[in-house]
Amino acid sequence: MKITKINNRNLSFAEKIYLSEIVKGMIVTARHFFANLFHPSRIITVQYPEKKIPLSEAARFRTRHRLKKRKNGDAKCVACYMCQTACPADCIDIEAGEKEESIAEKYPVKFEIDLSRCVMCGFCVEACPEDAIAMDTLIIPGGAESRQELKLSLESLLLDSAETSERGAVNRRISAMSMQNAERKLKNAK
Amino acid sequence: MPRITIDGKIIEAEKGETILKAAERNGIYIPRFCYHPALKISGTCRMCVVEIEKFPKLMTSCSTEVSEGMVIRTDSERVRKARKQILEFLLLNHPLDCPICDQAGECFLQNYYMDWGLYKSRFPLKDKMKKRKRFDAGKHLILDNERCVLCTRCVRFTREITGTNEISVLERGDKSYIEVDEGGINNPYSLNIADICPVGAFTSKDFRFRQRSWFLKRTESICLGCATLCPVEIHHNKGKIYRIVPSQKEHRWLCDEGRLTYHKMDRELRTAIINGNAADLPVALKKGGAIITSSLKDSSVALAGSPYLSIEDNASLAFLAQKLLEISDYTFDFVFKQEIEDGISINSDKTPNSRFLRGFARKHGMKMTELNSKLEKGKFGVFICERKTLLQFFPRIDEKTTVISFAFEPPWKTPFKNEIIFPIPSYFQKEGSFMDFKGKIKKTTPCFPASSKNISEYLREMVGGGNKANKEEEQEFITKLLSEL
Ligand code: SF4
Ligand code: SF4
Ligand code: SF4
Ligand code: SF4
Repeated sequence: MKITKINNRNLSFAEKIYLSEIVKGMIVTARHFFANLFHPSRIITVQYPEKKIPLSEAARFRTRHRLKKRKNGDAKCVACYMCQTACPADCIDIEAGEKEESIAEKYPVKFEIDLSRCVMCGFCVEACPEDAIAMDTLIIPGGAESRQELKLSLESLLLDSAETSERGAVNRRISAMSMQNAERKLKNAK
Repeated sequence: MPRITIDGKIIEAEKGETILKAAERNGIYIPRFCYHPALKISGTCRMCVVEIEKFPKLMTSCSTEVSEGMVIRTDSERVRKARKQILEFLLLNHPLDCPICDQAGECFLQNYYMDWGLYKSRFPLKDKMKKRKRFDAGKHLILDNERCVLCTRCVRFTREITGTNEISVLERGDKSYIEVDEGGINNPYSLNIADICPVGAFTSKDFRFRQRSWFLKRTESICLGCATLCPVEIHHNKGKIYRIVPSQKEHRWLCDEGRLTYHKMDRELRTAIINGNAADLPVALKKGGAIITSSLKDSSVALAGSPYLSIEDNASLAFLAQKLLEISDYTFDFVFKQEIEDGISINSDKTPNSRFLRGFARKHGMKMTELNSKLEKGKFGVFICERKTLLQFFPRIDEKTTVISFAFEPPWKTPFKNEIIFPIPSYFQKEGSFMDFKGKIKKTTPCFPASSKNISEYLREMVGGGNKANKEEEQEFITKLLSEL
């Protein structure tokens, strides 16, 4: 391989005594400071995590999980533990129960995803034989005040899942807005 | 001794042995559904077919006996093709239940499909034969007819082993199904059916949906439900036991009662109990210590061993009675009739260690009746005993006597006026030797560490005898005793 050696330019005398450089730096800082002070609407950074920039509908990221629902409102998940088995971060915790009158006899009584440990790898989505879990909410998790907040419960995972198909549908994205609205609803309810 | 060749390997088979057994003894596994080593041969599933030279057709290896000079192939193209076709046949009407099926992970059908099937289904979903799903088949069992492969293992089990005949095959062809008698399968060995069913047709109500099979860790141990001491495998995960099944090394039909003994771990005692109220350990130890020390002064301390405790624990009790407490009012005399009355597994003696105590009591301690009558008369200030033994054999202790007991099993309500209960680990949590009804020594293996102390530690702490009965001496006493057995 060819090695290129980069020699930094020697500093000039004016640069060596720093004073003029400090003044130059101050001018840049002051320009931004006053620009932001008089035109706050033009600030390009946001106060994360209080404020978030909504992702574009076309974004193809793996984002916060959700569980899909059947037409009758039940979770599609049958508590088969495949996602828990596949998860490399060991952050899914399922407890199965039995239901008499439903399409599948097995269903999750408890389904918890610990987002503080999740590495967003998407293995759980790949592993699911029922296509019941998806990472298409366009919500980027993070910035919580306690660990408990980062634990997704069955209830919050099932939130307003617009997609209710019985089968098929590979991770079709739902509207990010509807998901965020639903999240707000849940917070208010609490 | 016929000499045969299986897959190019020359094997000395035994006379009258089947090909499947001879192959298995030599590390060649032949897939099967209906064959079970402890049941009679039926040859219904055809999964075990092999190719034999000079035989025009493929033969079922489970029912064909070896003969001199046989050349057998278990991995030829023809055999592979046959296996694939049999699997396709079995799976024609099979439901797509693996995600909700408890058998997944240890299912013969699933495993064989991955080994020899791997074809794409040619049968449309809508044409699948519908059968009765998920219904109550007895006290401990649930049956799903759609998942059944009609191997008749369950039918043969109830005919040959229990003789109760609750299960039969009805109808013919793709309509045939397993029928359970009205009233269900309620024989005392019913859970074995969930074990021997090669698929998820029969499932155990107790284990149902509680854990996936691949999460389970397996520990070889023994069942302490009765004096037979059946070898078992305990399946547990993260400090919790999920089921007990027969050992892989030595097969015995386990009874339902023995399998469910692990539920006592769910109600494990973690604190001391004084007169029915939970108390801190140090408080209980102090109280117990005071009572023992004052009773020792007028030598009114009595002690009993227990047929529910291991050889080691009984031996250390005897040692401490002689050397630490220096008393003579103690007994190890527990004698029961020991016999397997049904000819399968269940012993008439429900204690795991009385055979050992029968010999031990001859050298140590007094007769139980003698101690009991003294206890009823109220001759003692303190009586020390394991709690299950206490409730069973010494129910009428005089009110003046304080009872100090050690328990790993409920009930926690006390029938005595003064009782202090200390928690001890069960044998799921510690090692212990037991003598079965035939006089063989068997050992338990701990699945996870104990959360409480042993009886001898409590006694030492309470009496505080210092160097009177040192631990090395006690260990020596136990080792010597075990080596003599
Ligand atoms: S995305 Fe990966 S780490 Fe996160 S829950 Fe799914 S499998 Fe586990
Ligand atoms: S893999 Fe799918 S169906 Fe199975 S437990 Fe996970 S989300 Fe539920
Ligand atoms: S019996 Fe086996 S193949 Fe059939 S559903 Fe159960 S695990 Fe799957
Ligand atoms: S229920 Fe199970 S053991 Fe009985 S015939 Fe069917 S597959 Fe075989």
